Amino acid sequence: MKSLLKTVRTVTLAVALVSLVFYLGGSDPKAELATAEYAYRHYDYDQAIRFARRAALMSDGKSEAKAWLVAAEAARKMEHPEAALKYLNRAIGAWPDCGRCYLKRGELHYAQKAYDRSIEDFNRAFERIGAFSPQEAAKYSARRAVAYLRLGKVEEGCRDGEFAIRSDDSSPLAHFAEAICLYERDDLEKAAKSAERAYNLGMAYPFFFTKEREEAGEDWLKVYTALTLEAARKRR
Amino acid sequence: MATIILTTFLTGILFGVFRYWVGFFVLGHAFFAPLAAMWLASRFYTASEPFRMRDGLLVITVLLIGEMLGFGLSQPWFDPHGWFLRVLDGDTAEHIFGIALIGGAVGRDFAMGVEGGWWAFFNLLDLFFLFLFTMFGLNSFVYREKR
Repeated sequence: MKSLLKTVRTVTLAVALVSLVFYLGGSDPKAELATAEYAYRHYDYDQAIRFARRAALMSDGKSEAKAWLVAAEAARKMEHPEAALKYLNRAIGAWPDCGRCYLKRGELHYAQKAYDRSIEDFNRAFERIGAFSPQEAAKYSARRAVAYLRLGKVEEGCRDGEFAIRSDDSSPLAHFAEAICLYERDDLEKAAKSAERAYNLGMAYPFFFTKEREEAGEDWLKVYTALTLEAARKRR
Repeated sequence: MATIILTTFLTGILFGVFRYWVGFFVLGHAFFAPLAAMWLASRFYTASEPFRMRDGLLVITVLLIGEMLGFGLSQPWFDPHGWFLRVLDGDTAEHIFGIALIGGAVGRDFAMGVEGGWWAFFNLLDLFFLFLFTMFGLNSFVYREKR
């Protein structure tokens, strides 16, 4: 009787373990990634990270990079840039040609004010991503422009700023980049005008200033105010 | 008692890791966690005297703390307390193993997991059975006459 009970117990445990292994092994990484993206779209960042990590652990190459990218975005939304950076590094490790990964890492470095690293990543992203939408081209060129300008590389910064405006004239970021460029070139009057145009465009975009503060650590209202005040003072 | 606490704590950590990566198995958790902990404890320590109720409560507390630690260590950054508040607020959900696999309206409603009031309800239900199975486990595995 005792040995029978022992056998039943052992068999039950073995069946439970095998079922668990089948359940875990039978999980579909594509479905996990789709769930992670669904959770991300519905602002459930905890679940987005959890499903993305599960998907990443079950896949490799491009799929793994996509999963880490979702996890990184969610971590950034939860204000954990160090985790986001870790996931982006893993994404790049899994797929070294992932242009979007460099783009996101560049943005992260930018927000952390590591401008040189941010420029490097933007360069890599631009090399790898063939076709940008005009809005995206303007956004990221303007980011790189500001990064160059903050490092004192005025020519490169102004070139990127001009390109950003040519790509999308309605981009507030592009006009802010142009304003900083003009300020660096000592053309305060034009810089103030450009900042004003950027401010008006920014007000037309929902939550532009809030998003910029949260995602890029940029207080454009401060920049706008400082430029306008300095131009007004000079006029007097 | 130190042996029981240690084995319960380690089992709690394992169950916490499982809970993060796989999901929460209501009642299954209440059944397996305390019995596994008590069985493990009985491999190292058995006693013939009856156990005190406060020891039972201590074991449950240690199990839950261990589970919280295991869950937190599995998270991308250690934040079990923040997660607990977010689940209660409905900002995130916990994947309930089983319910999400059901089809139909229930499956759709709980596809991402359970949050807020339902989460509290399932956890309280689980906690009640966890208490019963801890007492049962202590009585049948640890506090018994040595054979």
